Amino acid sequence: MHLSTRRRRLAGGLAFITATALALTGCSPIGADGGTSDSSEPIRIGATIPLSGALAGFGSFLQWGYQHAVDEVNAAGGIMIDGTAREVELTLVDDKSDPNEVTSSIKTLISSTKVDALLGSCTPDLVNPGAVVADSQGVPFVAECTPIEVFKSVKEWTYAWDIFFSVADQAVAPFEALEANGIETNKQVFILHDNGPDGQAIGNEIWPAVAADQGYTIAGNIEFPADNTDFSAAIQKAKESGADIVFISSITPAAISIRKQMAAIGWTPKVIVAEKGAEPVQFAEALGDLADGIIVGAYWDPSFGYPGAEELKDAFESETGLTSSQHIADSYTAAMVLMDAIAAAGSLDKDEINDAIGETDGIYAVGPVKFDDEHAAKIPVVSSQWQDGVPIIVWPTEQATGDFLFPVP
Amino acid sequence: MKNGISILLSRIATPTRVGPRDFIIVAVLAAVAFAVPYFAGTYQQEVGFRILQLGALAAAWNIAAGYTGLVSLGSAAFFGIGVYTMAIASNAGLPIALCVVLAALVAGLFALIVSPALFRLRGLYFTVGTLALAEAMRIFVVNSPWFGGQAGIYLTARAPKAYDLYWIALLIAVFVVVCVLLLLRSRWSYRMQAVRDDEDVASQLGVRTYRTKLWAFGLSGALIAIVGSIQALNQGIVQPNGGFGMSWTIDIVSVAIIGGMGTKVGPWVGAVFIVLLGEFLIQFPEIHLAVVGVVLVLVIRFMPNGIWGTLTLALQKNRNFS
Repeated sequence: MHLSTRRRRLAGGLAFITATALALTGCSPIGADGGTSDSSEPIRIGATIPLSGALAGFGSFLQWGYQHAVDEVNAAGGIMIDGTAREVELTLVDDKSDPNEVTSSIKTLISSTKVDALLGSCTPDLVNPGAVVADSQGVPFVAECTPIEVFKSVKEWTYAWDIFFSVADQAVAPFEALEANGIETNKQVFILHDNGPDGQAIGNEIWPAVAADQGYTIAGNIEFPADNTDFSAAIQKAKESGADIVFISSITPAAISIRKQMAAIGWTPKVIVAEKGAEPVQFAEALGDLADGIIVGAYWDPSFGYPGAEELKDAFESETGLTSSQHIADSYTAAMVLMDAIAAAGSLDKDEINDAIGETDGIYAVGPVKFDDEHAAKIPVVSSQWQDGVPIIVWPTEQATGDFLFPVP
Repeated sequence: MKNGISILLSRIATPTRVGPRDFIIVAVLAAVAFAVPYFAGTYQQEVGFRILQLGALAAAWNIAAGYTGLVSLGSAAFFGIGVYTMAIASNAGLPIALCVVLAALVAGLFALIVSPALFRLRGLYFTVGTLALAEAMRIFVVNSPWFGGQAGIYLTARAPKAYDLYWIALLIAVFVVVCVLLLLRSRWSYRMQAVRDDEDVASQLGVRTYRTKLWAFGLSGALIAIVGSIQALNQGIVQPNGGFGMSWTIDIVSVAIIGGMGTKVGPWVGAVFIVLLGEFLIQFPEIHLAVVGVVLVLVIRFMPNGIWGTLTLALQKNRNFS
C-alpha cells in the first residue's frame, strides 16, 4: 500500500514535469541576442590570441599589433558612427593555443561581450575554428597569420577574411633568391616537411613542382609529425643523398632541432631553407651562430617603405624593449583594415561592415591589401636570411638589405 | 607500498545506493534545465552547454576511474573518436541521432580492440598506457589519409543554434546520468567496486574481472564519445589537435577530482566550478591560466575528497555532533 502511494506520487511528479516541459515547448527559446548599442557605448572588437601553449611565441606580437592599432584610432578621436565619434574597445582572450578554446571564446565574445567584429588568432589550427564560428553567426572576422590557400580550402566564406601570403609564392621565393644571387650548387634538393596543412601542401606538392620547373632535382622527401623531436635518421638520409640544398617546412621547435641535429652529426648543407619555423626571432636566439645563412620566406621589413612601417617597428621596440617581428605588421594591418571598414560603413550593422571589408583597396603597413573573390588578400613574399641574429632581405634584389651569405657557415 | 593511483583511489567514497528519489531529482533538474533557453540568453545557453558537456564527460569517466579503479588518461582518444565520427557521418548525410549512436558504437569497438593490451597493465602502468593510447590516436588521425590530416574536416551541415546545442547536450547529459544511476543499481556496481578495491581478491571470489573491466571501460568510452560527437556540432570544423587534444583529458580529470571522484554529484559540481571560474577569468588573459592553476592546487590540497566529498563529509560530521 505504502509502495503504491509512493509510486503514484512519483508518477504524478513525473507527469507534472512532463506537462510543464511540453507547455514550454509551445514558447520560443531566446535566440541570438541583438546587441543594443547606443552612441555612448564603444565599438567592440574581440579576438582570441595564443598567449600560452605551443604558439605563445606569436601571441605577444598579435596582442601588441592589435592594441597599438586600436590605441592609434582612439587617440585620433575614435570612429564616426551615425555622426557620432565612438571609441574602440578591444577584448583579447587567451586561447591557450587550443582550437577548442578558440571556439568557446569566440562564442563568448559574440554572445556575452557582444562584439561588433572580430580579429583572428594565429596559424590555421587557431584561425579556422574562429572563422567558422564567426561566419556561421554573421560576425565580420578579419584574420592574418594563416596562408591564403589553407584559409580558402576550408569553405566558401561570407563573413571571414584573410590577409597573408600565398604558400605557392613562398615556395618559389627561395629558388628565385638562389637564381638572382647567382648561387652555384649541384641543384639537388632534399625536402623535410611536417604533416601540417601547409607543410603537406608545400612539401608534397608545391616544392617538388617548383623545383622541377626551375631545373632542380628532388633527392629525397621525408614527412614527419608536426611535433617530432628526433630527426637524426632523416638528416642522415639527407646527408647520404648528396644534396647541396635542404628545404624544411616545420614549426619553430622542430626547425631548431633539425639544425642542431645537423650540427651534431657534422653535416652542413650549402643551402638551408627553413620555412615557417625559422621565422620568429626565437629561432635565431635559440640557435645563435647556427642560424646564420638559413633562408626563410618573409613578407615584411620596415625598410619596404609602406606607410607607417618604420614607425611601427620603432614603437614596438621602444615600448617592449624586444626585437620586432613581422607579425606586428600583419596584426596591426588586420586591425586597421577592420576599423577602416567600420569607418567606411559608418554603422555597426554587421552586413554593412562586412561589405566595406570586401571593398578594401589600399596600402597598409604590411603592404597592399585588396581581397579576391575568395576573401583572401595576398601580400608579397620576399626571402630573408638570418645573419648575426638579424633577418636580412636577400630577394628581390631591389628590396635587399644585405648580401647573400653562401655557403651556410 | 602505495603508489599515487592507490592513494587517489583510497580517497574515493563507496558509491551510495540508488533509489527512485535519485531518478526524481534527475527528472526535476532536467525539467528546470530544459526551460533555461526560454528565460536565459545565448551566452547563458553556451555556458550551460559547456557545463553539461564537461559534467557528462566527468560522469562518464567516473564509471571507469571512480567506480572501477581504471584511472584512464586516454579520454581524449574516445572523445576524438566521437568528434570525427560525427563529422564524417554527418557529412555523409546521416541524421544527427544516428551519428551519435554510431559514435558510441565505434568507441565501444575501439575499447574492445585495445582492452586486451591495456588490461595487461594495472595501476599507474594502466594510466600511462592509456595516455599513450590517446596520443597514438591523434598521430594516427594526423597521418592517415582519410581524416583530412592536420587541416581536419569541415562540417557541411548548417550550424545548430545555441539552444539546439544546449538541448542536445542536456539530453545526452541526462542519458549519461541515467546510465550511471542504472549501473549503480545493478549488480555490476558491486563487481566494479570489488575490482577497484582488490582485483585479485575479486577474481578469487568469482568475479570475472576482465569482463567487468571491459564493460566499465567500454561503457565509459562510449559515453565519452557520445559527448565528443556534439563537440563536432559545436565547432563546425574538427581537427586532430582539437578533437584528440590533451586538454580534454586534463579537463575531465580536473573536473572529477575537484568535484569529487566516485560520487554521483561530484562531476557536476566540478563542471560548474571549472566552467564558471574560466568564464569569470576570461577578461584577464595574462593571469587566466595562472589563477586557474593556483585555484586547482588549493582545492586539491585542502579538499582532497573534492568539493562535493568535503561538503558531504562536513554535513555528516555536523549530524553526528548534533
